[in-house]
Amino acid sequence: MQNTEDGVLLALVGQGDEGAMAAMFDRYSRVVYSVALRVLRDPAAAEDVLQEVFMQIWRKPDALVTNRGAIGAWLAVVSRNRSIDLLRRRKPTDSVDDVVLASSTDLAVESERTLMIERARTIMVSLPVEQRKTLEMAFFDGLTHSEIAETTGDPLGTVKTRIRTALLVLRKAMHA
Amino acid sequence: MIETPITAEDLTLYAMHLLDGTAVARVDLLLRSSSEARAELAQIRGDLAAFALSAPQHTPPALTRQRLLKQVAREGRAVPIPVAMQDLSPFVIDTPGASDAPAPGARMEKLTVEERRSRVRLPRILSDPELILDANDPSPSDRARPASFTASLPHGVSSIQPVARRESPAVEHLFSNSIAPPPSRTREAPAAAMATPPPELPEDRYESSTPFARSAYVSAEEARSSRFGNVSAWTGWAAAAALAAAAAFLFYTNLAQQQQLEKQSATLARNGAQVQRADVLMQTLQSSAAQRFVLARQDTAPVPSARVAYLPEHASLIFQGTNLEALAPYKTYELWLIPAGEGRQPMPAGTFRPDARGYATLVLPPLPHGTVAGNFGVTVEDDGGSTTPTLPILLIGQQS
Repeated sequence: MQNTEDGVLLALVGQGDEGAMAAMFDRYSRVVYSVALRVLRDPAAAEDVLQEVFMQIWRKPDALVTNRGAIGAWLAVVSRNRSIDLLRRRKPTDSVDDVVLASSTDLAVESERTLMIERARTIMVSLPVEQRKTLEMAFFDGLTHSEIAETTGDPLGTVKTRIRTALLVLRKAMHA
Repeated sequence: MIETPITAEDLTLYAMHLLDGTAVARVDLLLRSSSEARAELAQIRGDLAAFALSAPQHTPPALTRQRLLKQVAREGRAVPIPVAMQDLSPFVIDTPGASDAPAPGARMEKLTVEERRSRVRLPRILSDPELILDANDPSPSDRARPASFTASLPHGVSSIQPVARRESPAVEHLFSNSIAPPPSRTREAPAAAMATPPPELPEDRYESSTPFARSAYVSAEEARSSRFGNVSAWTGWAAAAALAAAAAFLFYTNLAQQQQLEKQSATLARNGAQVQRADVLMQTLQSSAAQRFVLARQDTAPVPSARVAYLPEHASLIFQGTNLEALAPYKTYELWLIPAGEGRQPMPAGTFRPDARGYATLVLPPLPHGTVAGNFGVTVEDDGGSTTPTLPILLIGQQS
């Protein structure tokens, strides 16, 4: 099942195929775990998030089907959201059905995955440090724009603009 | 007070769950009415996914995979299948006041694992409605419903509450097969055959429904065939014998499961003790409240140093640093595993920042199994870590 397309794997998961579930895990566990670990900085907690996110796939594979975005991208976002919820010790703030995303990033093939990861990192490194740090504080640390403004001493509007600008630069560069 | 319009920046914060309740409600309202806003939100989530990929990549421990697949096997699949829903028409699931059919979106209560397993393992003879009906149940209509329902349910789907005494065609069919009127009569009017017993039918319904009694009220023409009567009688004995065999089977299965459970409980208790010990060990290593002492010659000035204990077989690593200098914001220390053998690239083994006293610990960072270390090193990197070390190497190992 190593080379099976995401859609086919997901359909098999929907039929209760445990082998397909294992293949899905082999394909995307590294992405999900890395995001969770970056947010939580705790391997045990990141493992818990990893487990929870993949069990969501098993329990509700149709949630991914209805999300037409690439599965890898979807998983990365859901992993981040769950990790932030855990970090803030709050209940899950959204249902997996609610996370609809548009992404042209296909992470199914390992070489593509590696390429996209490298590209994302290169783009982020090229950003002005204050933009990158502000986005990291918001996305990976789950700090609100008020909290970021308090930490950095920047005006609220500046914080919001930096986050938005950083994402737009990333969007443009990823599609280039 | 005039509310400020919702901007794309607000949508970005919304996508990251960073808005407060009032702002979230406003954005929710906008999303309901604006397809453009929904499209932009989906786009922002796509951007965030790309950004998420910039996180340093780590491989989860191998045990995580086993853990997941075990849970997957344990939970099984709990998705209702459409055919079963048709058969379920006389039942309502978690929907008070509903009529025959489950309301759209009605939630099904999941059965426990034990309940699912027991259904899966139930021998056919006990799950077969016909055999149950022929045994000793008093009311045909009451019997038929749960028996046919159990047979039509996918295992592990739901618990149900009957709300109407109405047989589906499938139930009627099952019942008509088991009560044994002649096949031609059953085909013509199965419901009538059920509701109105033939005049020859004895008053005692229990007796009449047994295979022995059937031969008493078959038509005269059918009664001529004594061979058929014998077969019918033997069918009853066979059913009873099969039932007894099934009961014995269930008894021994249950016994074996109990023994297995006892064994597992003992293993669990042992594992619990081990976990508790490991937990204490981890706390001693990681807690900021732990007292730490570095012993050195009295005339030696404190210098940064670190210790690494690494077990390649389990990819388990414990790092303890002392007297580490504080770092500038946005910088982090990173530990590198330098694999044994020439020309092999250093592998990131985790990032850390020292506390106010210069101590840092790194416990069980994610590493591939079986990599024999030639050495370890520590560098300073941008926050979040790097995939390749940035010189200079501040600390380098010496195997002791």
